[in-house]
Order: sequence, then C-alpha cells, then structure tokens
Amino acid sequence: MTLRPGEKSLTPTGNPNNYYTKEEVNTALAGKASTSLDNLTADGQMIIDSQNGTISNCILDIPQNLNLELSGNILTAKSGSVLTDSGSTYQTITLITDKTLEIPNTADLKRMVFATSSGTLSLATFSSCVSGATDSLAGVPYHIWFDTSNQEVNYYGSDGITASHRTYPLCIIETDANGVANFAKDSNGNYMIFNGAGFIGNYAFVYPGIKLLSPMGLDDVGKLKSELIVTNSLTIVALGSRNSICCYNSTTLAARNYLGEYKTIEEAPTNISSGIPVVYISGENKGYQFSNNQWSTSAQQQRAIVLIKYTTSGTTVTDFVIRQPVRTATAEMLDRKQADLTTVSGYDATATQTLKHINGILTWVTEA
Amino acid sequence: MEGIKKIIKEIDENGNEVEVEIIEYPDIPVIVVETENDNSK
Repeated sequence: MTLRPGEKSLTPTGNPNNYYTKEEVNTALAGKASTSLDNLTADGQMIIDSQNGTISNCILDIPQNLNLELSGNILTAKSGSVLTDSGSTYQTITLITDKTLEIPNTADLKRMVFATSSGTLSLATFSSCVSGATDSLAGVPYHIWFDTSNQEVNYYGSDGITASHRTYPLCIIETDANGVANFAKDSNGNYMIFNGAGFIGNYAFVYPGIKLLSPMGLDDVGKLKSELIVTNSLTIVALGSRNSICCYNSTTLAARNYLGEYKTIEEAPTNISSGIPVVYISGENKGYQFSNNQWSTSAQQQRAIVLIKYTTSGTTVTDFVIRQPVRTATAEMLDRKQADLTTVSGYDATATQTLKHINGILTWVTEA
Repeated sequence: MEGIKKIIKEIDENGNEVEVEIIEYPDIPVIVVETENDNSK
C-alpha cells in the first residue's frame, strides 16, 4: 500500500480484496499528516478565535512541565515532570520515577529547590542563591551561583569552593513558624512553581514553548488583530531595577518598565525619567515605548506583551508574577471577582467611582 | 519542538542507579539579555 504526496486516497498494491489492516494504514500515514490538520488542534482553535478579534495581548498557554506535590514536609516531583538542565545548550530531563525530598522543619526559612542531572532533588537557602558573571558568594559554604556567562547553575557545598552541577530551580518553598513547609506564593497568590519561567538571584529564565497572542492593532471594523507567538528560546534576562519582562517575538524578550494599560496614548504618563517605559493602549491594541521624551510605536514595539511582572530590592527579587493563561470563567467565578473588587485600594461604597490603572496599580477613583 | 532523546543511567547521590530521559534541543538557542545592553526597539 502506498500514499504519495498530494494523493487523497490509498493505492492498493498486491491486495486482491482491497482490505487493509490497521497496521498497514498506520504505516502508510506515518509522517505524512498534512499540516492543515494542525487547524484541528487546540492551538489552531485559539488561532481561529484570535482571528475572530475576540482576544489579544494575553497568554494562551504555559507548559506545565513541573508536576510537584507537597504533603506534610515531603516534596514530590512526579514521574513525567520535565526539568530544565542548565548549560549553554537547551536540554531537559524527564523524570521516569517520582523523586522525593524531605524539607527540614527549620522555622521561617525560604529555600529554592534544584535537582542534579539524575533528578535528585536538593535545597538551597533563598538568600544564598546568587547570579551574574561573578560569584558574589565565592567561598561561602552551601550556596548556589548561577554563572550567567556560561549559563551554568553551580552548587557549592561545605567548602564553598567545589562546584556541583544543578538544573534550573523548580520552585520556592517556605517554612512557617512551626517549620511546616508550603510553596511560596507571588503577590497574586499563585504558587511559585517555575513552570514557564523563574529566577535565580536577580536573573530570570524564560523557557521555550510559551504561547502568547501579541497585539497587532485593529482591523478595518475595529476587531482585535493578533499574532500567535511561541517562545522558541531559553532566554535569561537580567532583572535590574525595571519591573517587567516583555516579549516582542519568539526569540526576543527584554526587561522593561511597564506603566500599565490605558485607553488612549494621551492618558499615559509623560513625567518619566528612567528605564525603558512601555504601556499597552487598549483602544488601539498596541504597545508604545517611551524614548526621546515621547511615546512611539514601531512595528516591533506595538507587539510588546508583558509576560512577567516583578519587583526587586537591590539584587533580591521580592516578587515575581508570571501572567497566567486566559481561561473561560463561570458566572460564579465572575461573581466572586466582582466581590473581590471591593477590596481594591480606594473603594468607597457610597461614592460614584471609576476603576483606573494608575502607574500600573488598580485603584478606585471618586469622580468629582 | 524536536529534540535528541537519550536514556541515561546514573548513580545518584544516594548510590542508587537511576534512569533519566535527557532531551537535547540543539536548534533552540540559549540567549542572555543584560538589561543595560538590550536593544529591542
């Protein structure tokens, strides 16, 4: 049986009854599926949805490679979890069996979880994890140095000098006053399990495979235009004093000062002194960037999409929030969100108010 | 993403022989962006 390129039916060869076994069909079709079949996948459906102009400037999917459970003080990385190894070549490690680690019940301690090349889990105190071209903790026992020049994560044990190889970190775990371990949370309440992205010291890492809808303006009838981006690199970004990591295309990410979302560019602030500020203008479905004392949007600037928001204090990352993928919501979920809005800063139940983004912070403003 | 897959056996830190699946992606670059030098327009 043969299937030639462009053929729409199977050509029987040497089979007088024209019956084919399942194995023959599978063999004939192997590797010959048309790319048009991709339109039937969930990714393709998202593309179709975006082309209908309903959504834009959002995250569609973050690969959930790390399947972690914390029960009591036992951390388990489940079989099938995919860890990312450090080094100058992008390489993953898939766990074939569950890997466990007991978190010591030292009170009030924040730790990062790493793994060896064989998948063995290990811990390092959060404050002892540094990054950069030089090791600021050289010689200090029990520390992690993310060597950004070679993209190697190194663990130093009791002598503080001998390096052992480690993967990128899996998560952050905190113990409470009673020594009970929990996953740390970001300011949005999400567990700090590093699916999609994470950080060591003051460098972030963003994995390939993240799907985003990049804003591409409006069409002739005002519907949202988007481009599907899938990150196709492992990108390491110095965090510095900016507040977000923006994605411009499949291989270009950069740290930016995200100043928020505004309806028109005229509403965006102009008293800006430092960094590379960006805003998202919802009325145009475009990103703008501030330079030479003015807001502008080039073909690349307009498609900037915020992937991560973070805060730093010196070289310490104090918050790291990965934007979550869009999802549909039930009426009950929307009702709960409506109730949550009353807790936003400035809320006054007796006043006529407007909900605004002011310098990136959601705030109730009383109308005059 | 296509990668080069291999199963390796190692001795872990507890002296046990373990298997892990390693996938290398030579076509996926590792990029470092230093904040002051980034030039995204």
